[in-house]
Amino acid sequence: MLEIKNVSKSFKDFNVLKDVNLTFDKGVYGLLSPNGAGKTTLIKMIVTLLHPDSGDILWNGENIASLDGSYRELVGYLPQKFGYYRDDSPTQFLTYMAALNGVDTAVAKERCQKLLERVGLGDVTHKKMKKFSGGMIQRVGIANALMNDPQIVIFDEPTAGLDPMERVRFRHILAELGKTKIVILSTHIVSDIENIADQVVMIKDHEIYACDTIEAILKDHNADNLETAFMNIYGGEALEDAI
Amino acid sequence: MKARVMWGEMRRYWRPFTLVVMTALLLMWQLVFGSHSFTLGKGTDGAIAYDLSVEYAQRFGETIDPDERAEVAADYEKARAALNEQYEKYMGQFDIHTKEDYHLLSGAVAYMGSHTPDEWQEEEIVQEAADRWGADNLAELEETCTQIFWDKIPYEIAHREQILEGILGWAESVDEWEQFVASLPTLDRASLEKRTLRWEIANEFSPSAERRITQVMQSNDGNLSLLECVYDAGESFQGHYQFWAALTFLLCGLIVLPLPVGNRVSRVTPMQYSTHTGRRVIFAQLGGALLNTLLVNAGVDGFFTVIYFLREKNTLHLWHCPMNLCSYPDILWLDLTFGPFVWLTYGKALALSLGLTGVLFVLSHLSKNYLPALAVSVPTVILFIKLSYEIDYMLNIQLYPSFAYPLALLLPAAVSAAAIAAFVKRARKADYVD
Repeated sequence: MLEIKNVSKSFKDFNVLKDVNLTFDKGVYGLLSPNGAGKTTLIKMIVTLLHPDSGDILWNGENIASLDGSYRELVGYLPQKFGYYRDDSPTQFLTYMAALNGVDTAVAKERCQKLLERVGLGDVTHKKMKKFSGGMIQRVGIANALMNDPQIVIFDEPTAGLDPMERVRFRHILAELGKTKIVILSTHIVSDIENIADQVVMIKDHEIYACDTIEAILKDHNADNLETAFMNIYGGEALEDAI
Repeated sequence: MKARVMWGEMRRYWRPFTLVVMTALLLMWQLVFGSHSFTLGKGTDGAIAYDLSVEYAQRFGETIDPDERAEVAADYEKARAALNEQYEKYMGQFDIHTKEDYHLLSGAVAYMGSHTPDEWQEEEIVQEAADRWGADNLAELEETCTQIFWDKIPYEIAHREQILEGILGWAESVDEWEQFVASLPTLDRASLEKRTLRWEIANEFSPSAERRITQVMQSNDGNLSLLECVYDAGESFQGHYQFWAALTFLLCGLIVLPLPVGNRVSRVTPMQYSTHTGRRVIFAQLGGALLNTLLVNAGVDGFFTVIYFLREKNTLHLWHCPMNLCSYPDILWLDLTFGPFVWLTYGKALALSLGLTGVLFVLSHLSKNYLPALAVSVPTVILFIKLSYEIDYMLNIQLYPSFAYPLALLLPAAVSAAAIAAFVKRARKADYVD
């Protein structure tokens, strides 16, 4: 179980997140808000790239800062902008990242092949990534996030660059992962999470506005779909973002 | 930190493009600076001087009589004529026919360089040269002729004349000749032959022969005529190696600089930091960079050594000669033989390049893009090249107290270590912000 307790974060004088309290257990969590609300900051704190100014993030009751590497090896992370070595093939890059994650070489090779096939890149495993399209790179990123067989999988805006077919494939992967792992999916695209999220976390004015099932959120906001609820909650803020 | 991670990081510094540029630089360096091993290099002088000295000592023994002196004089005249033939052949068109003509010209230009124009008019050598070649033409002509001297006139011919002039000087009196022979590692013909043989054995790095040679030199108070050539060889090595040390620094920069900043630019750094290894990956990257620096040093030194020793044949001959006993006793303050002197020179470049690698690693990590990284790294590399020259100056010229040399080596190492320590401490705890 991943718990976020009274976490706040600011950059200089700007409060990005204020007193965040969340608890994640197995399942798919949609992290939804307009751009700039603090989704990425929250995710970066969960993956230890940023440190909370106050509050704690706990994994099974232990502070993730003290767990250090033994916590991070449980985390799979696809950042908003996936970083990779252009001259590497997907296989080279994934096995390299697996080495950093402490995954055994033989296991990494086997897992790498399976995951690349799973994301539809089974026929280009040894091709240099500099020749890949944006969608293909994103799929390598998805495979990378799963290479260490993580307990917590975090995707930050994962569907950028994916074509409709790939989005469907990705949703299937997410749904399957959500059965056994904590999956946190950060997006500002409502349709990305509408069909697959068990719970939706909404951030408004840098605070947690809601953390509930889609049905409960729809009921609370008297809406028949998540997009309408989203517009009701964020109103002009979301519209401005859309424009 | 697993060896696999370290190996992966070390390998990552070597990009195909980097390898191509490094090879091109290596070849370019040899093309541009390779010839300096000849103009600066006098390593063979010593060998020739030694061989000729031994030859004459063997021919005439401890004493010299008038007939033998006449033989030396005749040999010198032959050598002088051979050299003058070369001057005539290559510089005759400039009205320079003999060594004396050339010395008149170079002496006048040297005087003009160190005195004011008012003083030139009072100096006989300048007036003579000006009358002969024209006052406005002297510097340019001297430069042309010097170039011709190094490029065209066979070194052996020029040097043989010079050495024989020296031997003729020793032959002027019986006492002087005795002193000359005594200064060689022998006191009689038989012993000379034996000891010459020992030198040959020493060239093959026989430890027992080395010990004997050292004993011989010690028994003669190190008063060997060949010691001057040891200094020459050292000077040649040092002068030539400076260019290669500069290349080592450049190559280290070329290898180290692109990776950390490249990781940031391509957003790989946050990927690495979010793994099990986390920010400890910095240690693997630093370890990889330092190991690669060792490789670069080995590669450049190996390449340089092969080129140098192929060009400067017989330099190994001098390996065990003590450098501080040469005819410049006030110049070298380190009690070294030529061999350790070479190792010290290599060691200096290695120590500095390791320090440079550390500093560049930190600078690259702190840079958010390639241009700022280059902007701070280029002056750093230049600074280290300058430092390398200054340290050599300290080694060769006794102007600084003896602790200055190790201090000058320790300072960059300490700065580098401090920079790395501060950076690692900060990087391991600070937020990672794109």
